[in-house]
Amino acid sequence: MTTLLELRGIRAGYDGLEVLHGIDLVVEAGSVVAVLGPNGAGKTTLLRVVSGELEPSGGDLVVGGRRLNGVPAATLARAGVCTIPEGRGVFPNLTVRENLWMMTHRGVGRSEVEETAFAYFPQLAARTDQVAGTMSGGEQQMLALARAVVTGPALLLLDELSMGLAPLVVQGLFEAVDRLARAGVAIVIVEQFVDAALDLADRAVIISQGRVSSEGAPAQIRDELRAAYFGAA
Amino acid sequence: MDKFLSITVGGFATGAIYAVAASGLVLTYATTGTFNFAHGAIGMVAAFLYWQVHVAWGWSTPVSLVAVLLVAAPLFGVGLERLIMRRLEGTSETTRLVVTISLLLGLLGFSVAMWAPGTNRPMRQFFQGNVLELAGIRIPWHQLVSLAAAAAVAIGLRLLLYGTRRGITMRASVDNRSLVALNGSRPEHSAMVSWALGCSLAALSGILIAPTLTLSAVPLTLLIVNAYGAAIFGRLQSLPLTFVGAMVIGLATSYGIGYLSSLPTDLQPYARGLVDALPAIVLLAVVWLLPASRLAQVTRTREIAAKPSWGGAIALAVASVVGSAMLAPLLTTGELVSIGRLWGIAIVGLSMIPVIGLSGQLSLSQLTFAGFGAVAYAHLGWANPLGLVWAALVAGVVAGLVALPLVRLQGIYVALATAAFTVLCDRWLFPLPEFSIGSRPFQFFPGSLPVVRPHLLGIDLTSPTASFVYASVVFALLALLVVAIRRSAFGARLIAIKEGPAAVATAGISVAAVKVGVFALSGAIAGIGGAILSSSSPATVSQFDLVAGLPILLVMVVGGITSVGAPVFAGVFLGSPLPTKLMSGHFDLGRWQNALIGLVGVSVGRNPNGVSAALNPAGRRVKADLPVAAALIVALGTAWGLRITETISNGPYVALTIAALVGSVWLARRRLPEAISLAELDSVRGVASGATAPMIEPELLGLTVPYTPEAVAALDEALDLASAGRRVEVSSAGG
Ligand SMILES: Nc1ncnc2c1ncn2[C@@H]1O[C@H](COP(=O)(O)OP(=O)(O)OP(=O)(O)O)[C@@H](O)[C@H]1O
Ligand SMILES: [Mg+2]
Repeated sequence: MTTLLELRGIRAGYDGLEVLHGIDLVVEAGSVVAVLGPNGAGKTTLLRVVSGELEPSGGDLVVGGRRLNGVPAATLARAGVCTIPEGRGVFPNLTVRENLWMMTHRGVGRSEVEETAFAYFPQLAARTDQVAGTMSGGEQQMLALARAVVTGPALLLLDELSMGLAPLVVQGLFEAVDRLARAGVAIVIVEQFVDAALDLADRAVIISQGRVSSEGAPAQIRDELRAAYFGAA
Repeated sequence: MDKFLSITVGGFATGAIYAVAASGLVLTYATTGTFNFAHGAIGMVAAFLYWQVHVAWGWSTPVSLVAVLLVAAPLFGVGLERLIMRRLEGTSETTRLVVTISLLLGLLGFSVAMWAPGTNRPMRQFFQGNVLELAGIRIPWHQLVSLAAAAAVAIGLRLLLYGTRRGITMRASVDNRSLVALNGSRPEHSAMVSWALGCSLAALSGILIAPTLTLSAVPLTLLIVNAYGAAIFGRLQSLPLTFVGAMVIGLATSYGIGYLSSLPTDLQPYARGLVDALPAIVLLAVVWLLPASRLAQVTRTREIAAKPSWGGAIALAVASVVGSAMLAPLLTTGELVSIGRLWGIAIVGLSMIPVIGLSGQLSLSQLTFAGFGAVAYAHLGWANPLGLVWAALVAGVVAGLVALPLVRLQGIYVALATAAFTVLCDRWLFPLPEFSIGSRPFQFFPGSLPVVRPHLLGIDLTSPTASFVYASVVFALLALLVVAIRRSAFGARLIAIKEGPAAVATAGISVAAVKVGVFALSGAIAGIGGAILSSSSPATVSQFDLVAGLPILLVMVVGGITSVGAPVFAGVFLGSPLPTKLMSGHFDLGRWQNALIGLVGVSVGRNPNGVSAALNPAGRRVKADLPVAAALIVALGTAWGLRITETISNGPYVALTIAALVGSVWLARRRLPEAISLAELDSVRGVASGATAPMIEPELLGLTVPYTPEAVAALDEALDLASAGRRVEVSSAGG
């Protein structure tokens, strides 16, 4: 296996307040890594570093063997890093179709984008001219996920895809993620639905207070979490 | 019938020009979220530039058009975005508006400085002399050009915004800039394109509209400002509705002008101003009919409304009065007359603090309220302080009434509605000829207002010296009042309304009552300012118009719109000849004054808390260092003594005073051990006294910040809960 993403001693923060204190993480091409941890641990911050939105204050961000510290998010997106950010990853005032058109970078045409997206998520096909902000949360996340489907990225970053959604809807979304994973997209997944994330993952890390506190196979992490949970009770 | 038809066609042609202007405005707003108040001024400068290259330098029409519309205007837009607008992220809507207002003022000043007023600069229409005869009416080709331009703009923008990836990206950027980047596009590029296009459209409207009047900066700017109502009609997002709005305004003004002469001659003077103000009336009507804007959720900005201490406020009040009393005897009567407006302007500046600084309602009518105060005071003619109370009452009631329809609105809508009200007053109401109320004749401004010099409890204050000191006393008392408001529960509500209106509403406080209250209060203060202004020199309508009010706002914002020190700054800068005097002989400041204010105003994007916030630490250092503070007082007193005994003249006196102030700050800083930072000074004294006080973010308490009784007390203090007796007891049990 080849290494797609490697973080070496990443430090990052906001306004002089350091949030990540040296994170090491390796993501092999085509593998799924679950990143877990309590609220405020720095999971979102970590994904923001990888997507290029936040420049790390220290350490190396290496994608595909090249050190990419400080490369703008737009460039990384064009290079194949697809991010579905925390919250709803759509433009609420654009229609579904216009949202899809925003995904036409990386050399895919408009009709191609629409076809691929609607094949994956048939529910969207009936709503092409609806303003995205008026769709249900689940539909919005489908639309957001469509970006990963149509652009065929090398690396997909998912930040709490399931936030605020009903379990059944989440299940549907996760099936789509699973299909992407099986198609060979490397995925870093941050989730509150720990079990669902661990089911998908090849490997898992736990971050707490800006440091990797535990790392291993999903089963092992599951046991650790359970022990911590019952231990604390 | 023919007259009606040709007036109608003329109306559509004017409407078409407004449509071009308004669509540029909507474009920048809808794609960057910034309402560009300077849009009209950009069109004005472009028209002057077009005159320069085409008429003065004789370039051909196509070359001139390309040079202005496709080169100069877009370059200006790109520069604007890169140098100014890009830095405004994270600032409040008020700050962004103020920056564009500064730009408007700066451009006005620039054009006056570049193209001296008074010279006749004729602008020819496109294809002047060519007329299309159609169904018995004659349509000048220029009108056809305007209509064609509007149609082309409409189609072009539609295609751009809905058909191209660049256009969709531009629309997407307002929603979520970072998501645009995650989609592989550069939001900065979209903003640049948007500003470039917006400026080109402003320029096109300026060039089209300029031939209808002589090329003159302020009228031309205001003419394009007429189009703002159309943009609001389109809710700043719909281009088709914007075009409809533009046509309504174009037709209304065209009929107004066309049929004014059909009115009975004795009525015409009363209606003329109304025709001038028609676009403002349309704007007001549209704003009033707008559905309520959704209450904003909590906004976190990098702007802080420092809570002033009583100590500082009293020091300022005393310094104002003592300073005036020391200064007044040094000046000749002539000098006193020219400096007489200082305190009046300062009080108008003061009136902006509650409404704009604290509650975030960008009222552009404060000087108009002052006008009402001046009129009330002068017409009543009472020289004692009750005359001031009357002025406050009248202006307060007017301001409260103006606020009533605005309570549902926020941000730019408040700014535009109050601007429209001001235009309505300064073009129509204030200049009205004499009319009668009941049987009594009345005229707002009979030429200029009679000067009513103050008189207090039998003491004659009519000498310029005495009335100057009297004005400073009024200012000092009002400054203390404003500080008291800021420190009261009402003040906390004002700030809450600015920062999280939705939260305020859910807490059961009536947002409407607070807004009307703050308008009335600020209007009353402004009214006293107007009365003081008219008690020093004969006041005229033009002293209270929109363009006169903007510099006060800007200097206030630059000085720090929540600080009571800023009004003094505004008074000295705008109400006295000091800046001109200091520079005399070196630099024609008068000519460049507005351009400079604009330039400085634009810089507030850098430090939105104003100069006062920056100076505040310096003042505190001096105060904390007793020997240095004492030395400063001695030095100031000595300089004054030397001056009053005629040992030195004005120049050295000013120099000595400035040297003493600067020197004391320098000394205090040197004497302060490096290890002690200001934050430590604060914690030693245990007060959360201002901008530099450490802020505890409520939601972090207990998470990243330990949950201590001190922290809770500090929060209570910040939220003004302590005074309401709702202090939360924190138990130290558990752990
Ligand atoms: N824009 C920001 N400015 C300042 N501090 C921030 C910002 N965003 C996050 N933080 C802080 O950084 C820390 C880590 O935040 P982050 O969002 O990365 O946590 P998270 O693990 O994603 O939490 P959650 O599970 O709640 O999403 C928090 O203490 C948070 O307050
Ligand atoms: Mg998060």
